[in-house]
Amino acid sequence: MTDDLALRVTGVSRSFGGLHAVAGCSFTVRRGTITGLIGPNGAGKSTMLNLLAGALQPDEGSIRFFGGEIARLPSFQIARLGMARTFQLSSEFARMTVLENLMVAPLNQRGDSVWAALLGPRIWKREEREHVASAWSLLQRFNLVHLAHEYAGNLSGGQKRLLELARALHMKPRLLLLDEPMAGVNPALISQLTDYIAALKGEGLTVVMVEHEMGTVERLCDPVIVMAQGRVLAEGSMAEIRANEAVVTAYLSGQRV
Amino acid sequence: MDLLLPTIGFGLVTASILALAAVGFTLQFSVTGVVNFAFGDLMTVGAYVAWLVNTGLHWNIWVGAVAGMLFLAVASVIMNRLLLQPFIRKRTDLFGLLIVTFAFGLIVENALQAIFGPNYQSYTYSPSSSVGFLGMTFTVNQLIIIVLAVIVMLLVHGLLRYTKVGKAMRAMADDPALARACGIKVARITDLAWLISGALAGLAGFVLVLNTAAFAPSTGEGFLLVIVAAAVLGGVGRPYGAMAGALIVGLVTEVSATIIPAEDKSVAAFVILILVLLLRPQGIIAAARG
Amino acid sequence: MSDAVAYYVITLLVYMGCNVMFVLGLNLQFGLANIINFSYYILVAVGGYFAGLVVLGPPQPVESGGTEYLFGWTLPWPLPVAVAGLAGAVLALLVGIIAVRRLRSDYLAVATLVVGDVAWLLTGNTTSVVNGWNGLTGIPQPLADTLNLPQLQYQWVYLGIVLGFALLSFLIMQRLTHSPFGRSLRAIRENEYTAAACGKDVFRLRMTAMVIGGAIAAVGGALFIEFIGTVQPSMWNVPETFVIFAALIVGGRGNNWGAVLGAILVPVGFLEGSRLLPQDWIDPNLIDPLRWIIIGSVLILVLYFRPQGIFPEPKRRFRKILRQLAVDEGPGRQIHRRTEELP
Repeated sequence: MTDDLALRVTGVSRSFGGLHAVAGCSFTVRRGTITGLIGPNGAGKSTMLNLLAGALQPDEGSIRFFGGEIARLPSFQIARLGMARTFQLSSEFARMTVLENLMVAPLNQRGDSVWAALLGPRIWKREEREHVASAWSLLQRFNLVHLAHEYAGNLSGGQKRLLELARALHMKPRLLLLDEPMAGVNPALISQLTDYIAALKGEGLTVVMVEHEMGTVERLCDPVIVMAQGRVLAEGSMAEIRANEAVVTAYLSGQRV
Repeated sequence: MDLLLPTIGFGLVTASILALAAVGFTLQFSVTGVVNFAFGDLMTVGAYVAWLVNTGLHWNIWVGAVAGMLFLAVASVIMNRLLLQPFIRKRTDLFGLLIVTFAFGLIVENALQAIFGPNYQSYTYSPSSSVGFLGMTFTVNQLIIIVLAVIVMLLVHGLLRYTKVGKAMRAMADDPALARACGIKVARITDLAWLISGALAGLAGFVLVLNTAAFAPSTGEGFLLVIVAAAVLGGVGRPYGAMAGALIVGLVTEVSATIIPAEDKSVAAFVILILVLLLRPQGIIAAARG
Repeated sequence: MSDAVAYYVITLLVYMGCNVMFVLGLNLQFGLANIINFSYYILVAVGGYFAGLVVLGPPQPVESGGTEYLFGWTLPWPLPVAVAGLAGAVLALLVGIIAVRRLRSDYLAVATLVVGDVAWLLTGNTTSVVNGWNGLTGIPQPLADTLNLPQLQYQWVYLGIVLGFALLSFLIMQRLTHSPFGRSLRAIRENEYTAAACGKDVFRLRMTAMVIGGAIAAVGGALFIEFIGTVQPSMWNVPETFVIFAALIVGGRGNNWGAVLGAILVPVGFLEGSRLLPQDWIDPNLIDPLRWIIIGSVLILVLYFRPQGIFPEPKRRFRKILRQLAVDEGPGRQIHRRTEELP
């Protein structure tokens, strides 16, 4: 079946001890959209994101990524299939430079194999040059060029966010999972980040974004999936979600939509 | 059956010594988060201090034991403040701290060797009589060791359960940041944890020697691994677990001597440790609870 | 130079060459891949034992004053070295699969320490495998018969062989370190979850580092033991591992030149050099404990004042590539040159 669907999640459940973090979730993500994943605290959004990325394995259910089943694959294999994810907390390679951080990202680097490494630079030098070039243009795009040779650990919080996004993009993914990209970010940077993410849509990338910051969700996301207590409450545009009674109730006990 | 009872007897004594050490080691780790790889060598120091008091000043060995405890209690606090805190302030990672304590232990052991020589020493005391108990034979000193261990376990239990300080320790073990936020005087409780750990190291070192008769600078260091085995078995950072772990390791070590060659008996303890680390790193007591 | 001096120089240089290999192997396992193997030196010992076991003839019966050990195949050089390397690789693989996969770093340190100690005890107490505490002796030096040189000449030749292997190890390490493979290892070291999210097979990459590091250590061990002629448990336990760690930390973790420097300074310069101290300077009984006190103290000081080591891990600037791309690094250039150190 040809999939216009980047993701098809069916009946996915995951528990921790007695806690059902995610219980029988099903939803789809269409290719080329920026889909939001929202919900009050404890809804299971982070767990869902980690299940999608392979950081956690579901207890049951299926996750199809562009038609292929990925539910029980380890995270590195899912990454290789074209799913890039960002992390909320500091996840940069601290003692490597910003440019090097980006250079880790590209998939299928020839020089990654130990044999290629032993046989010498001649085998992988050309590919390396191409990657440096593409990394450099990403740095220019995100205005990080002046920090190219700075240790990533020395960057400010906001700069690390930009680096995180650039790193994920350098993987040339088909789908980008963003884990609360605006969390703890100052308002000026929020609008900048929002612009960057909006631009991605035009490039044919599919984005799934877990986010609390409603302004961002409104500006960027269509459609939006609402989770609460481990289940999917509703899927649709922001307007439709707002009108949904169940959603409103769920949020009244949490934050405002 | 003939062989079994006496080995159980030995096992109980070993377990008592181990309990004293393991509880000190674990309590300090639970509060401070530092793996003190110098613990074994500190035990040796305790043994030497007691020996100095005993053979040098010709006082009773038990007075020497107390001296050892006091010395080590203070020394441990100083070690933490002068050696470890600077590294902790520099945000050295866990492995770095482990290497620092390991290096320090190495220094201590060799300092002892430089000062006292590598030869075996022993305490001077009149040999104690034997007592029979449930088919097992103990010397009076061995019985005292067991009783001491039980008393200390009760004291530690009382401390942790019923005193304000003990509750503060448990809070710090659970969540150091939260404990600090609740106004617990972290530095003072840390000092206390090291104080207790040092005192127990001193006592454990002394009773270890009391039981094995001869000691040298390298004695404590070999014992460290058995302590770690007991601590990990009981669940890292759980003092009660350490008590249970000590009992199990002590008994298994001695009883195994009936099956495998005697010189390999500590191997049994180590095998336990490896199995636990591989199958259940959080320890068996944790498993029972959750 | 006189014969005695020549022998001493050769011995020192052979020690240096072998230790360089030991520290380089550790640099791959610990410096790059951050695997804390506290029984690292066992890989060296395994290399030595296997080389010895296959090069010696069959064991003589114990009753007529012989020793007990396995194999005894009298293999010609360089097969014992190859066997040693293979043994080291296999052992490293086993340790990796069993321990590294499941344990976090501080548990791993404890676990490897314990396993190492158990292995040491068992090896010593079982005489049938490698003759227990007395170990293997009389291991012949390689090619001695085929070359048929006078003793001193032969020693120079052997030194050449050792240095050749050391150089080869260094070149291999340089290639691995300065490649995308090395970069992936360092990424895993910095944050293994992010590295996995970038598509890196963390387990496979670390195992590769483990195995190659093990092989290098074992080959070094084989060369070492073939020079000394004997291998016993007293030569390899936790203190020996500690010395190699100290060498790497002092020289510079993650830097191959640092590994070489560390090997020269610590195991060789320090431990062996202290043999040179005139006898009437210090009471000879004090020399051994003093050595360890000094090593321990130096390590603590280095960890405090210069944890990155004498030759820290270099910052990768992609200079050559950037020049080829004729990239304009812009006015920002001055800024990043000043901000080198992490706070």
